[in-house]
Amino acid sequence: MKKNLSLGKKAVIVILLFAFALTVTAVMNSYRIYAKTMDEHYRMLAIDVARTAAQLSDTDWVNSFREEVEQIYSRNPAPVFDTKEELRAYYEQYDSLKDGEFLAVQETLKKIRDSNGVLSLYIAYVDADSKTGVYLVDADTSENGCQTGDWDIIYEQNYEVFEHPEISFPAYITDTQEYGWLCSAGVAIKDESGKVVAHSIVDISMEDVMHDRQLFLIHICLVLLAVTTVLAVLFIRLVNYMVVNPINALAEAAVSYVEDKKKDMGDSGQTVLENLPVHTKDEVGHLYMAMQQMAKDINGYIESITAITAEKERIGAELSVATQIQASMLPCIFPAFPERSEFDIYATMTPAKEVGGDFYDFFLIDPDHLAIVIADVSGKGVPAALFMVITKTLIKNHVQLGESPGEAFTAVNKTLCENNEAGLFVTAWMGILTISTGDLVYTNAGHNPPLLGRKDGSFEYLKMRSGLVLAGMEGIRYREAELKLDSKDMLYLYTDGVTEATDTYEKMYGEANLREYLNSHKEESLENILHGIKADLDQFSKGAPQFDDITMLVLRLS
Amino acid sequence: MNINEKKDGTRLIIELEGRLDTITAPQLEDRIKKDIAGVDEFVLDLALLSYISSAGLRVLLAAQKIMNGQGQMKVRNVNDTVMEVLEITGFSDILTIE
Repeated sequence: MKKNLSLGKKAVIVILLFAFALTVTAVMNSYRIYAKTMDEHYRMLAIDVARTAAQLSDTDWVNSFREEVEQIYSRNPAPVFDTKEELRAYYEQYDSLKDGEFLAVQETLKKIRDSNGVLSLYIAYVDADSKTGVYLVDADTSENGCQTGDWDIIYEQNYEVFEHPEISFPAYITDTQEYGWLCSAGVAIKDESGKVVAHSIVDISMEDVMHDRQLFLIHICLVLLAVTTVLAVLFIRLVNYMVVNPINALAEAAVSYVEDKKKDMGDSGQTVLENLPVHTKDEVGHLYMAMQQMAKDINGYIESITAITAEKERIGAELSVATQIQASMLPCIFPAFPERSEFDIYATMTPAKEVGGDFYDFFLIDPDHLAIVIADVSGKGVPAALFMVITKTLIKNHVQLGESPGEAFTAVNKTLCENNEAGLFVTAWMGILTISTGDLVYTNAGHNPPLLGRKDGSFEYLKMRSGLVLAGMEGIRYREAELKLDSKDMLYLYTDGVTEATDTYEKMYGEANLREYLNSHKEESLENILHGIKADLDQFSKGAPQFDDITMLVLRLS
Repeated sequence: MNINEKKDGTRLIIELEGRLDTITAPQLEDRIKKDIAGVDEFVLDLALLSYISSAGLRVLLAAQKIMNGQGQMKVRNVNDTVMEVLEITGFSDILTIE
């Protein structure tokens, strides 16, 4: 049988699907939680850094520096310049304000920025009139940093800072072409009276954050992949060890059972079903035990079948010997009397089973007297054959003692009836021909009458009132009848196996067919006539099994 | 073959229908063996019997022998086919045929 998909492969596929689903779920969940946590972390970090910067700043200096910058800025809020020179001129207005204190503050911011790993850190104030934020000090001193006096639009989401500057800038995320993807947060810098003088603002690059997330994603994927791979391999090995391999071994053992059984014939009943790699006591183990039990039962069955077959073969051999013995009991060498030219005789018997209950016989009682017998024992097989042997021997004995047919049958019937527990009986016909005169004395014990074919006429039944079958009932006296055979007259004796041969539709061959055949073939040799009738019967029955012995004897005077 | 059996006290009537041959004769033999005890009149009706073989004759003979010891046996409604067999085999001499 072709396996579409082995149990092992199915298990692997199922496990891999499960592992994949679990991994995806686990990755998605961890990533979501991680992202949330990290976002929170970065927002907190941004605010913390901003707060630190706010606290470390010298409020008074910031306040005075802001006032000075505001003074310059408010003259021309949110200026836009077309040329670099104008821009440089604008920046130079503030240069005079940058004293040692400015540089110190800038240095402090730089340290805070670097130690916290944020992108940028600066102090700015918001101008409510122009809705802008103006840079005061930026930790970044490079060209990318913002100069004092630089300004930016305040996004609408943060407008509340104008009304309530103490709220400052809670963490928010922006993505602009100018600064990139940022998370920003601001904390108000207040003087002693609580007045907000400026804001310290932190930018954290979201690119970094996302890079972190990607790293996390790759990391967790690798870990889960490794774990699920290891688990899947373990599970597949376990399934192979506990289910797939045992079942395959069982299947192989079952397939090769008979082959191995033949090889192990001499061994002490060891079968291929022993020592299979089945290690569990679960359903597979149960199946294994059941198959072992079945193998044992089959072994026992095979043994008994073997014994029965041997016995059958022995009986068969003996039956074939019996058949030979039976065949050899019937005169079967033809021509039977090559030295006698006065008559010709031929006979055949075809048993239905190995040994039959039919028989014929012919023998010379003395040089002038020929006895011919045909008989049919009721029943078939060995009992009938044994009964036939007894009957045949008895008849011959009595006839050779000089008894007439009627006397012989009466005596044989008496003897057969003495010991006939099986209730068998024999139909028999016997005639004794005086060869020199052609006189035939005959008697009938329940047998179908022979056909007499006169030289110039057709075959007719040799009717006479029949006696009861032999061995039927004690005390029967068998009458005799006589006729005279002339030259070329024929006598055809047969058993009912001929006329009752049936075809596949259970139609019988019948007496009419038989007579017709005999009439149209009476000129042929006796051997040809009997074989011709047998061939005609075979053709008639068309392969239907032969139910009864077919026995024929034919005699022709010269 | 069908075997129809009627038992009326010590009178047993068996009607046979079909073929009484090697295959069916043992059935009839078993029925007769089973029911013939104490019967003093055994009637065998062969009106519907189409064929009788030597195995069938053996059963008839056995029944006749039993009935010889305990009463009488009658065979009735014998058709021509069966009658021919009974005559050829000489059974018509020992059976009481009505």
